[in-house]
Amino acid sequence: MTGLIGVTELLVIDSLTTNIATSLGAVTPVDDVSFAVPAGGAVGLVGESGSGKSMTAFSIMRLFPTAVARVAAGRVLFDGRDLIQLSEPEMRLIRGQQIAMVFQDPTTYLNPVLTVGEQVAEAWAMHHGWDGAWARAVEALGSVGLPDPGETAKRHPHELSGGMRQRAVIAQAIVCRPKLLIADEPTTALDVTIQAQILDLLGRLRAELGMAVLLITHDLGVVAEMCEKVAVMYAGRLVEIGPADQVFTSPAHPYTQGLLSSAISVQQTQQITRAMEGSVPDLRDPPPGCRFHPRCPFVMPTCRVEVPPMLAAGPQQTAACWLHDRDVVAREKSMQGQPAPRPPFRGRPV
Amino acid sequence: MILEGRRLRRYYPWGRTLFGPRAWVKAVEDVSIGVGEGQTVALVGESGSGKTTTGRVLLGLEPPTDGEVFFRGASIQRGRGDDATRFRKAVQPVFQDSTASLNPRKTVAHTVGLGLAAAGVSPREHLRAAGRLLEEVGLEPAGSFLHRFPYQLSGGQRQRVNIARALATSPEVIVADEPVSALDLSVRAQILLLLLRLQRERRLAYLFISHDLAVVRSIAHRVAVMYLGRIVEEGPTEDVFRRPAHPYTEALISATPVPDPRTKRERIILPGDVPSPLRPPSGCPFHPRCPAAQDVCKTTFPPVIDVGRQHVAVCHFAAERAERFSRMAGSN
Repeated sequence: MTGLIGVTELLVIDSLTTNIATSLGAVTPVDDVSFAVPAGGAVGLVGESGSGKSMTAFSIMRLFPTAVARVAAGRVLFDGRDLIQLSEPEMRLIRGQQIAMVFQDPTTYLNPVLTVGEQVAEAWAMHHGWDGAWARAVEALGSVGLPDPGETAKRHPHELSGGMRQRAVIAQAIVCRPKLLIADEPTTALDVTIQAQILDLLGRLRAELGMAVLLITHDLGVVAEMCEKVAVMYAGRLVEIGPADQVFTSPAHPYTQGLLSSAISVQQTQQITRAMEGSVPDLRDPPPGCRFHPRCPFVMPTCRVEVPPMLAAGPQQTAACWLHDRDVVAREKSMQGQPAPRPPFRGRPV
Repeated sequence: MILEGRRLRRYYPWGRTLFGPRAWVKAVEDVSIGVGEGQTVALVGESGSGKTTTGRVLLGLEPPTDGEVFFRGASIQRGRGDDATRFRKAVQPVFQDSTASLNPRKTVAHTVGLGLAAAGVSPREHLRAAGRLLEEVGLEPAGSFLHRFPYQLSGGQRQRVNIARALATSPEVIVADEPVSALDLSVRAQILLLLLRLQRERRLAYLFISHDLAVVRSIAHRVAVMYLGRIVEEGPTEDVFRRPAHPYTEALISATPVPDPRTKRERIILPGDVPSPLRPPSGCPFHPRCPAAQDVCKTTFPPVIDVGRQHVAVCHFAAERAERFSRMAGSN
């Protein structure tokens, strides 16, 4: 697959929709989401809690209880193959080998009764057999910067600190040299100095292994440091996608603008002067039209009824916002007989 | 100073032998900190630095192993009866986990009412007074929130209820332990704005405990940085961020991700983990991770060095470091 700028896309998510049946009715945590991850690239998927960013990752890996959750529509093309169509045994060959995943809380994802070496070796053995698995595990533990990997491999998770455990989980993920690493809030549970170590490690592994990274996080700072491309989700839908430089400096969707104005930087003296009103809607009963309209400072009548498509907002930058449709803005203007709402500001307020 | 801790220590026993604890975990070691009227003092540090324990000692929730807590100049350890009651009304907590700090079986009116009862408001007035407090913290119309249970509120709303409960006794100081850490970005900004407004309107003082340096820089007047149970640097917020005199402070600032991809900078990456407080390193406790450690740091505990502008740091080289930052700022 080839993208717009001639980069080979490794992962293409096309109109992905996932449903979950709950006791209170069906919800759609991932609703018509499309984006791509180029080979060797780093894409950040950002959003607040309940935005559907983690469910998007689980949908790619098909890691959810099939009794209640299912992909209702869309395709997940990985190296040209649609993962949604694969059987479970075929999918098992992809997981860990081609696409690996790292989660927020390393303690939960490590087995407390096995040594970390055994667990990393197992990840290798799943695909290549136990022959030489231990040596591979020790090598992987070394490449994630654990001191004395031969000895560390014989330790149990409880003997390691939080940062070391996250390194062990990353070793487990990269031992098969996957083409794509999905990292779901990999540093959220860690202290800031340890977070810096892990982000540094992920950047280094990316360069060494030529591995693409899909980084899922709520922390805009982490995305700004790690990713070339950023996709923003809100209430199950993608609202904006584009090169990180552009999205951060001239956000096109009012939600992205609000998020960025709430994000404060440690590098500047900055008083917080405003905040977005309200909070993320309940997915069991999402607002009609654009899901952000109840909180949007630029809301127009169209926004309350019609779902905005992804519209061009800049070079390779698209946003699901009617403000970027000239016809709609003109129509609103003529219907109201007054000036159209202010277009979203370009550039960040200082 | 309204609330002040002098040379606080808080040790916890660890392990057991026939003759008492095998060792002591020195969670707080020789910490002195004070909050003035209408002022925000931030206590920052990583997990295990002792910032929460310091907050709990200042709240009177835990007795200090050594040292004293003073409220308006009077020791709370020696306070009895009326004094103790006045202290507890005047110094109120707000915690990180808004769910855990609310009773799931009590309505908002009940929770806020407990504080009102302590403040001597007659039960007949409770509903009206609780309603006024809810409106003050932005839960409007109050009538629709009074009879809700915590599970019927969002995280941001729950934290507003916690703040209303704290305000019920008309406190002078609020000790807020990571009050916005569990909140989403947009809600976090709302709560920070609320705290700033309440401070203006009520002349509240805050002891703001946080690991997030960006938040601290945007709301605190003074900041104290803790590492392994000790304060390693303390001063006016802007001065500490412009001239971090302790290498740990500089590394913390540098490690905090900046939400702007145009910022390309050399990040200082500290090696290793925070050592166990059971066996703190010799000399300067930070030396095994310090990128600028010298021989003296391994053997000698550093003195408190005054770098001017009411800014101190516990580092052998604090004066030289602060001087270097001043020169860098001057040459710009």
